Amino acid sequence: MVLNQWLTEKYLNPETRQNLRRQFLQNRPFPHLQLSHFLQEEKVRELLAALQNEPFLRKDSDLFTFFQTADLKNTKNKIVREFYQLLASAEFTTLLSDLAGVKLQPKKVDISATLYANTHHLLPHDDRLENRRIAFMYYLSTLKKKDGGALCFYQQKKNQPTTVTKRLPPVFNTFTFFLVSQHSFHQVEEVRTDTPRLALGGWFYDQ
Amino acid sequence: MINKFYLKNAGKVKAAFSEKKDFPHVSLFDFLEKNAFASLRKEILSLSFSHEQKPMFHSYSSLNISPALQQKLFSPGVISFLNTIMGRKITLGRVYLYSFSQKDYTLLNDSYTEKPGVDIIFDLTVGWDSAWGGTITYVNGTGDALKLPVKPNSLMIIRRQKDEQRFVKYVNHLVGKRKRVFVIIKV
Repeated sequence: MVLNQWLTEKYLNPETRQNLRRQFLQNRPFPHLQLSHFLQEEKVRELLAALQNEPFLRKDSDLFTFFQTADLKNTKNKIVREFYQLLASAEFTTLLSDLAGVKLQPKKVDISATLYANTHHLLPHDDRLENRRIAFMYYLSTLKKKDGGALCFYQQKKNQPTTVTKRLPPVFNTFTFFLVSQHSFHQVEEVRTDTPRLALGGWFYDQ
Repeated sequence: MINKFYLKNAGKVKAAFSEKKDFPHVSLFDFLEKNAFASLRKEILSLSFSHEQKPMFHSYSSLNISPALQQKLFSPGVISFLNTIMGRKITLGRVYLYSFSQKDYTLLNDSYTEKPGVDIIFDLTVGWDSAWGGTITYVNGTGDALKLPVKPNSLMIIRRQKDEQRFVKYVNHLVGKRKRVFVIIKV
């Protein structure tokens, strides 16, 4: 079992999963969930240390400014590769499919690490591309509300975002995911501190 | 009103505008005479702009300027100069002033693309640091880009070719309460 080598015990419990699935569907403005204390402490420490050796490149466009690694599928870093394999595993895809109530393609996941420095941001968009079904972020840093960097969800009207109705500040060792749809308008608000916002993130795909 | 250097060298400006293959453009710094610019800027900054936000498209403040102010900004002398540079007679439509402050931006959007044409931009922004964002950037989908300098009293003429679009980069929190003000007209 790959899951019990990485995830904290509570996420292996079927009863917990049932409650989480309910929460996922109830959360507004569109289905999402935050899984706190997600990985076992030792694994998080190893992963964080391993990421220091991954090359990050500056990415800049009309939509965003941040540093990002290449897709981690081909990383030579052992622990990062194992993290990739965890998320790409049939067990993890099944867990996520179960929580989100959607069928996801096993072994099909994009993962990269992003680092937002002071002033970095990601403006509103919906993530819809190809068959993306679940977008996720796994945070490796914590930022206070005043420091920005929160994942913000928009309320929508007639398939256009209107106002931000939910802010989820990054919290260390939290796995956050949401359903990608025509209503999943979101942004990462500008970071307003010198504390970097480090996360791993990407997408799972429709079956 | 126009800097005499440009009036004397209109032919060279025209040649410079025509010779560039990618993102044909010219940037004319200190375009107006100093006093004319100061008076125009003072008048424009005293106007009230309306803020508009469409998250997937833009966030900025704008103002449709009055015919009287339009006449000052684009006097017969300026229009005549532009006609010379572009080698044809131009007609101005409605002229908008834009003001970008903290958290403002424009985004490229596939559902709204502009047809090829010429943009004329007059910058009224004083004391701006490009690290604050707000840069007007032209892209063509190949990874190449033209980032216009942010300088007060500069007139920029850009020929937008097929697939070339423009955006204004997000203005970050380092800007404080400062504002970036410019005019864009499409010809």
